[in-house]
Amino acid sequence: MNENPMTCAGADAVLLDYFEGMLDARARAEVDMHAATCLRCGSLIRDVNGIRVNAIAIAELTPSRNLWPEIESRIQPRVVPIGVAHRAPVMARWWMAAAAAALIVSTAGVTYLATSGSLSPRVASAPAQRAAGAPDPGVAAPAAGASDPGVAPDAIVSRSPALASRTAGTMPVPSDVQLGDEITRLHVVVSERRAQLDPATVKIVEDNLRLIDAAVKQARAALVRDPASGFLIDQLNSVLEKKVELLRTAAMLPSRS
Amino acid sequence: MDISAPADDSRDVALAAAGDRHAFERLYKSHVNRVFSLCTRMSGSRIRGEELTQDVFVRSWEKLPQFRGDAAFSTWIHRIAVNMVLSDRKNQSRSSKRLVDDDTESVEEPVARAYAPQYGDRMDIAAAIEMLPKGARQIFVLHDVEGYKHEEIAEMCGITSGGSKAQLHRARLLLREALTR
Repeated sequence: MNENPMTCAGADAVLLDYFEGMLDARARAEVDMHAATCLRCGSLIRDVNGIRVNAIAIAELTPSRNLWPEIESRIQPRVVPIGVAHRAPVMARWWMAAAAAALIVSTAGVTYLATSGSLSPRVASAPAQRAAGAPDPGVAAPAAGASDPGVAPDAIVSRSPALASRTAGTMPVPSDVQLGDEITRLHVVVSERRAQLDPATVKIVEDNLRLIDAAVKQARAALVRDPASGFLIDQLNSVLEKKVELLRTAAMLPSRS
Repeated sequence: MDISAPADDSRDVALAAAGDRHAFERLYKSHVNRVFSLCTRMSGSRIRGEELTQDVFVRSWEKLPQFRGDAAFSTWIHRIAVNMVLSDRKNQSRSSKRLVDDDTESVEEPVARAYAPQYGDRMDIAAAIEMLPKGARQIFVLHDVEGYKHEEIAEMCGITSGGSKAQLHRARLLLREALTR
C-alpha cells in the first residue's frame, strides 16, 4: 500500500506522459488508482480518452464545390517564351520539330496507304520509283545529313494539273523546282557547321531530316499513283517547306560553347 | 505516419507524371476529401481549406515527375498538404500582426471563452477542433486525427517533440472543456 497516495496536482503533473504511454507501470497504476477514487481526475481521463477515440473516427469532409476545374486551369502546360537565348528552349524547339516531323511521316504514310489501297502495291511501286530516279531508300544517308542534297526529291511540286501530270512516274521537271537549290545550299552550310555544333543537336537534326526525307519519299510514291491529287501535292510541298525551315534553323544554330 | 491507399494508384500516378491530366483527375477524385479534410481542419476554415486543397493538387502535379514511389501516393500528397498548410500559417503570421500569440496562451485559458457557443449547446468534436487556437489545433489534427508521431510533427513544424506533446495535451484539455460545457 502506498503511504503517500497521489493527489490531483500530482496526477495533473504526469497526465501528459500518462496519455502518451510514457509512464512506467508503477506510476501508471498510481494514476489509475487515484482516478478510480477522484471524480475530477477520473472524468478527465475518461473524457480525454473519448476525444482520442472520436478523433480517430472523425468523418472526412467534402468540399462545397468541385475544385477540379480551377485546378485543371492551373495545371495547363506552360508556354515557353520565344526568343530566350539559352540552351533549353532551343532543345525544346527541336523536340517540337521532331514531333512535327513524326506527324508528317504518319500522315504521309496513312495517305499513301489510303491511296494505294493495300500494302503490296506500295511495295511493288518501290522499284518503279527507283527506276524513275527517286533515291533508293536502302542507301545510307551521307554523314553530314540524312538526305542527299544533290538529289531532286527536294523539289516543290506545282498543283497545276498539267504539271502534276508530269510528276506521274517521274521526277519533277526543272520548272517544278522552287526549293531544290535552297535546300542544296542549306545542306552545304549545315555540313560545314557540323563540327561547330553540339553532337546531340546534330543527331537530332539528322534524325529529323531522315524523318522528313521518309515523308517526302512516301508522298512522292503516293503521287506516282495519284498524280492529280491536290491533297498529296499540298502534303509534299508542306514537307519540303518543313525541311527548308529545319535546315535554316540548323544553319543558324549557335556554336557549342 | 502510414495512410493506407484506398486503391492502387500506381498506374494513374505514372500516367499523370508523364503529363496525363485525365489520370491526375482520377487521383484528385480519389484523394480530394482526405486532403480537403486535412487542410480545413488545420487551417480552421472551409474556404481556406478549399484554396489550400487546390494549391496542394497544383503543387503535387508540378512535383509528380519527382515522385519516386518510395511511399504511397496518398502518404506523399498528404505530406505536401501538411507542408503547405504549415507554410501558409507561417506566411500569414508574417503578413498579419496577431493580437494573441496562439503558442503563448495558457492551457487554462478556455477555448470557449472567445468562441463560446450558447449555454446548453452541445458541440461535436469537429466544430470544437475548428475553434481551437491554431497551434494547438494543428498539432491535435496531425497527431490524433491524422496519426502522425510526435517526432514527425516536431520535424514538420520546426518544434521539439516535447513541445508537440505539450501542445497536444493542451488541445485535448481545451476540447474537453468545449465539449463538456
